[in-house]
Amino acid sequence: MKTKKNNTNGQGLSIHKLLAAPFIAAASANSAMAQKQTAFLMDSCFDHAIDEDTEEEIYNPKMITLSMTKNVISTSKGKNGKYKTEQLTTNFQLPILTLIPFNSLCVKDVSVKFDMEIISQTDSKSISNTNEKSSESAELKGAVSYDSSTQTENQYQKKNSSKLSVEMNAGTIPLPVGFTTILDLYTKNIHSTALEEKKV
Amino acid sequence: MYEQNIACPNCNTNILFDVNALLQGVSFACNGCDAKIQLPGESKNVVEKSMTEFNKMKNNALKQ
Repeated sequence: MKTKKNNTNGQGLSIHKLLAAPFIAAASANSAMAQKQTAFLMDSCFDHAIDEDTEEEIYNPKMITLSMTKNVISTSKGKNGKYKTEQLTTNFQLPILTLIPFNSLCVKDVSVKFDMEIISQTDSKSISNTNEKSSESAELKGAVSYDSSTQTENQYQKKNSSKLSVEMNAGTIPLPVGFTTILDLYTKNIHSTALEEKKV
Repeated sequence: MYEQNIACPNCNTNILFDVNALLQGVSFACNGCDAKIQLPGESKNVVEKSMTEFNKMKNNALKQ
């Protein structure tokens, strides 16, 4: 008994795997981007230190200075007898992470269009011979012959034609709540550190 | 429109700003009290370095 199969293009591809692949790729990309952003956040926006008492790792935010200038009315009068305005500059410190434009980079949309046109076209031949001579004739005429030899010839045709279009759009999603809470905490607790007066 | 904001230390109103513009010396005014915030020279290098690292990280993440 001989069996011969001609595999055409597309044979062996699981639809499940075919459809899942773009989503798995998008999820992996999102995960990689989130990990990189977190690593950057921890390395560039915090100073690492070890607490001497508890020996635990402490992350202190890196601080930078911003200056704020505002006009104030001076208590002293000018030459014309009117109160004059002065520029007051205040330096205040805030964590650098409040200035970095963090956003959750991600693959925002994944649209998979799966269009498969299937035309089966598998060739399969099974020939069983008990008599070699009759098998030759049977091969030409098929199973109609009443020859003692049993010969069968089945033909299937299988031709796969598939179209899989994947559309991915990168974008930003809202920052995680934990992250925005930390940002909010820092931005709402900006404190002045020094005052410097400049007279105009 | 700028998307980043910090609370004004003077009146607590949100001041919208852009960090790249801050690095170029632009000052941003508070809508509540007209106070202006600016990045002084002493902090410019630190922020510039962090922004370079941040942009590099972003580009690398998108390439992979």
